[in-house]
Amino acid sequence: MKVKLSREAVEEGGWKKQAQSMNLFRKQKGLPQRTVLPATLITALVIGGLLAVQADSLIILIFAAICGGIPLYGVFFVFGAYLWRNYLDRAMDLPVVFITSDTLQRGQTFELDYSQYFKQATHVETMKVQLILREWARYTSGTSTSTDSRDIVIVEDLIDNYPISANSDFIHSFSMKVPENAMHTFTANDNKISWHINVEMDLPGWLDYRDRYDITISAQIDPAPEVAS
Amino acid sequence: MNMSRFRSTAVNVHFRKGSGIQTFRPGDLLEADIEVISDKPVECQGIEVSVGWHTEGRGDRNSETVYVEPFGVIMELSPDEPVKEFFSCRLPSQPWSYTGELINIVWAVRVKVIFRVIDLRHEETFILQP
Repeated sequence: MKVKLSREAVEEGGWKKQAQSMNLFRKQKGLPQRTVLPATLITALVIGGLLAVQADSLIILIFAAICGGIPLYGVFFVFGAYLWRNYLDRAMDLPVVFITSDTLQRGQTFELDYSQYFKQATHVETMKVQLILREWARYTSGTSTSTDSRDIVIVEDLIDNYPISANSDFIHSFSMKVPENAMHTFTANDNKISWHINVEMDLPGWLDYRDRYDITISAQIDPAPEVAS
Repeated sequence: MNMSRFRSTAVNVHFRKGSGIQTFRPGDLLEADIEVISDKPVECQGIEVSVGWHTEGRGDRNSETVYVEPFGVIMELSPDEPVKEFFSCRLPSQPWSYTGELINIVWAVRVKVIFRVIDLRHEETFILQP
């Protein structure tokens, strides 16, 4: 019996930002900021330019940009969101990921079953599944608090040039092993050691797909063998 | 074995497991002798032994003490008679000792020799690893 992995469980602080930028589909109704933000800025520049042609003084130009531009940005934003959702919906469904267990032990071999429905024919140029150990630290310097993190790739599995026909499921199983000397998941107030599975899929003609799933490495160990006295 | 010296007083921690780098498994029994030596007579308000972990590295320090034993008797430290105390404690299952890029987790036996003005602190690290 395998466990379905959730794409949630995003941690506080810097993790949240990074996770959001990594995951195109994390917010079902949302938009990837890295696409929307440049698009909004470009629209603002275009509208500002159009208004500048009409305006004959700087103050009128600023007034026109504020009064006329902002509502237009909103309209563009909503329209852009609609187009983006359609674009994604036409391509593929959200993936479904199952794992042997979301709580693993050091030395344990586990399987990750990845399934995603594609509405259009494509091929997976490369797909990378990584077992990641993340160190996260929060530190205080004067009155400000900052965070830092390091991702260390522990195990990696790759597939490439995998054709996908239209209206079919892309299904693949990955087998991985938690190293014998792996550290368990550790959480303190300002220091955390966590484990994740990163999935990166490079689809030519589409935006790359990236996602992250949280797992736990348990501190449970097998009892030491009895030593005869 | 390290030795902390404050004025004329020194602290030694002797693990009963033996010398060298001390490695314990989660759940093991840690047994150690504490020795406090002084070059000249001085009054000591007490000795406190604790076992715990703390983090080192980029982040702010986090720590936890899993065992504390106070030997709270006023005693006279003299050059000829080192004070010896024994303690033992069962180690927990986690966190394990860890050395990473941003975070280290360090286990230690901490000894505090309480004087009237300033305390003498000594730390003896060990490894907790399955």
